[in-house]
Amino acid sequence: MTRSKYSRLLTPAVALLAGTGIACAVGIRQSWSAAIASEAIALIWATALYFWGRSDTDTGAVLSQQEDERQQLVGLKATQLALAAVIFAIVVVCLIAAASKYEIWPYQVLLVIIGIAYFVGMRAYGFDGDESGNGAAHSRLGFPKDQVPD
Amino acid sequence: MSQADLAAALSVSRQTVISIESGRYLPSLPLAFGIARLFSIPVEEMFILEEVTE
Repeated sequence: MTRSKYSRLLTPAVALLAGTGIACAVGIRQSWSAAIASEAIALIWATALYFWGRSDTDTGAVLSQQEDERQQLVGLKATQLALAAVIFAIVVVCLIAAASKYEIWPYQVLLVIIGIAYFVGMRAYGFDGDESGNGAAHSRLGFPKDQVPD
Repeated sequence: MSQADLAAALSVSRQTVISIESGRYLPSLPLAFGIARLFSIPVEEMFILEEVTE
């Protein structure tokens, strides 16, 4: 469950880094006052994530990378729901953009990235081979040596 | 032994211990064996598989 004392900083750090990137883009393309406001929001969000991660809850454990097996499952289900919401939002915005004669390629790129990531994930985490299950030496838990199924 | 003590001994969260106790979460085999080992009883005595009829 416990990984390292710095692991709880990962999620806030990623949020702050992403927020800083957006703030820089806003500063370059729009105004630096808007960029400062954007960075302030990112800082507040990252701070909130850090303190949320310290709470004795499932959300806190997932945010601070200190989750156990059940909380990992909870985190995966929450991620699945969030991704479904993102896909739905992209499709709706894409339809609106198409109806309004705006370019829709950015939304198509997002959907393609999500699709590719899905199949990469299935390939990486799934098991499609016909390898025998006798390789229990690779796992911490296996069948007793004299009861390996055929 | 409190739920917090059990959680610490098993390296899981207190919420997970509560979820297992209330039957809302089925532990993995390593965790089930860990719980049984902690109480020094066989795993099949610690957990009873209830047949689910559809």
